[in-house]
Amino acid sequence: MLVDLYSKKVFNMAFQFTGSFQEAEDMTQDIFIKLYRSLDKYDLGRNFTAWLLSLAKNYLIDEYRRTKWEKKSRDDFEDHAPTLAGSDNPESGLAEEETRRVLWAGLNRLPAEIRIAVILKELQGKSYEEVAEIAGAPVGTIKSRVNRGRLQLAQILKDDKEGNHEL
Amino acid sequence: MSCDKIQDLLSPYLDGELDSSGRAEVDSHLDTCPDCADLLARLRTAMNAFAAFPEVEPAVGLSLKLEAIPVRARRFRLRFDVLLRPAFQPVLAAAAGFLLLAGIYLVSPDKGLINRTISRQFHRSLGSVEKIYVQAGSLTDRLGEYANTIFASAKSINPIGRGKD
Repeated sequence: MLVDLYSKKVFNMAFQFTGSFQEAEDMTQDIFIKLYRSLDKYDLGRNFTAWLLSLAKNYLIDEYRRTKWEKKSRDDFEDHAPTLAGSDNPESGLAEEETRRVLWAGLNRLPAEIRIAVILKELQGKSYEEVAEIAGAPVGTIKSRVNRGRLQLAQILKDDKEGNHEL
Repeated sequence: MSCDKIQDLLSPYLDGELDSSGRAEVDSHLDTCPDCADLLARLRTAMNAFAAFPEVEPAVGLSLKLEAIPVRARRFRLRFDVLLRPAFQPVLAAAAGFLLLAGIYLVSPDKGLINRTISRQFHRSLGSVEKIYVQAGSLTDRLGEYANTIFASAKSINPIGRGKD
């Protein structure tokens, strides 16, 4: 039951954080093992999804720091999202695709805590309060992280358009 | 207001979290600053693009792998982990040694001989301890005598030799 309800959420969070489909699968398995081992520590008064995503977030950041792991490039998002909605206008469709590609690659350039905040807020559509609960940080800190992440990504979009390709 | 301060307000501006006066202040800056207006446009583009990212479907095999993690094995592994901690290893070694000796004793055909040997060794060890205790007592007595001699000698010494005058 836990697998049916939460595996997709955890997998997507890991995929968005690492950018690697294979890494995300391995990490999802590790996170579920950690989940089962930690179930007795779950406080029934707490939102279970937030608790699980908090556990996943801690695992992802610990793993990131422990292995100093950073991929140079991320998997092409389009390869794993065949149902991605395209635009009716081919020209604007291409521009949207390029924006997606630059932003997806740009996530790798955000520091881990900022990346998690941006992923939860922008890609998973959580509120600032939900992100704060998952990240275990005050709402003000989360707003500041999301703002810094957005500004950094906007700069990456600008650099890409001006031809400063570092991605 | 400077561009840096306006940039800090652009996220709350886009999230609709600014009050009317804050919003008016940002609008007025954007009217006169093409760089900040351009930045706002890019932020909007990024946010709209992120909102259109769909969830990705994991591989079919992943659910099967996750469901195959048996709860009992996990519980066993949890207890086993505690036993495998380095701090617990001397205890495990001592327990293994004790079990080995207990096993030898239990399967031995001549338990009487083992009992007599253990008793003999125990009393020998006890005798050795008594000897050490007596020797330690005589040593402290001798040290006391040496100390008295040293004090007596020290009292008889006249360090400046005035008595001879």
